[in-house]
Amino acid sequence: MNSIQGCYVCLSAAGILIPIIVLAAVTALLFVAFYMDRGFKPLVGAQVTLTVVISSSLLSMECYMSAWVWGYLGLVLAGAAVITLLRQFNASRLENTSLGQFDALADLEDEFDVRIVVLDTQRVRALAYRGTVYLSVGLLEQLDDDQLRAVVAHEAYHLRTSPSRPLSALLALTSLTFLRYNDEHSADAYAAHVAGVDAIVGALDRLNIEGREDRAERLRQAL
Amino acid sequence: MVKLERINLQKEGLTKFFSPNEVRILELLWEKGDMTSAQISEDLENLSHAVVAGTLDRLVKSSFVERRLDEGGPRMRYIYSPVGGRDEVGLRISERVIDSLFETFGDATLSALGKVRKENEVR
Ligand SMILES: [Zn+2]
Repeated sequence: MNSIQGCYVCLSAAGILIPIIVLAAVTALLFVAFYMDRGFKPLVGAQVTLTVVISSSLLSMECYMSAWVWGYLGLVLAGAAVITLLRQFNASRLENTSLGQFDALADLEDEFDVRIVVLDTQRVRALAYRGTVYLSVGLLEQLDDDQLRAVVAHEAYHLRTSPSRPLSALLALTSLTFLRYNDEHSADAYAAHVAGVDAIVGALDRLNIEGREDRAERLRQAL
Repeated sequence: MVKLERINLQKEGLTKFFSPNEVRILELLWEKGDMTSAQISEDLENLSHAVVAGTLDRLVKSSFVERRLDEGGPRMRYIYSPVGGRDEVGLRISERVIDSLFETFGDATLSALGKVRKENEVR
């Protein structure tokens, strides 16, 4: 209670109480929008405005709360360091399990204008990273041509449209929301548009992807 | 290589050294030779394909099983085969365990081996 009062006094003394309240309201609206459609745009927007709210509040609190400023900075810097390390770790692990590109996938590479690298694992893996779609042998084994095309379309959508993962992780941190975007439904919708609903639903099903019923349901509703 | 920390002498047979699923896959491959993951899954009905896939990756990593890429079919796939039979696996694990024992206990390990050998010759 005391610290909330302190906050209030500090912010009005600094003359930014009103803008902060307005921004906080915008943030709240964006969060509502995010919870309604789960897309990444309102989430990224809310995280940006929230970051502004938090950092400008902290910066204006010269009074006595400087410990909070340092705490926040420390958290963000430590988080950024962890994100960088994880990124490098993931990149080197991808490098190690890569079997390279294959002629059999060249047509798909041309169609979606991506590089397709095959991963040396029996587990089902599909991911998009730095202009490249990574697909595991375990995934390729199980899909027919249409389903594979749908999966590549889905990943190509991530490469083109989804915000970069490190950026999204950093925003999750600076806004103190610790929320990551989930762009799967839009990527599914694109895949359905390119290869047909049956192909993408079939692929999700065949690969036993977690949450596949929900994703299939949303695609059918959108028809 | 078998991880020494995973050895559990209280268990039965090969599960002293491998997980039950690893044993089932190894024995299947010893029996049938070359197999695809789909064939293995089919034979081990009550295991999900995801479990089979993870176990196969582990067996390949520890090089008790090897796989080659078959690009002949409509889609690339792995063909699995065992690296050596039961005897060879026994030899590899024994070496690994005896090495570790010798490292810790030195000559006592060798005396113990001599004793085990004698007892088994008598029988
Ligand atoms: Zn996705």
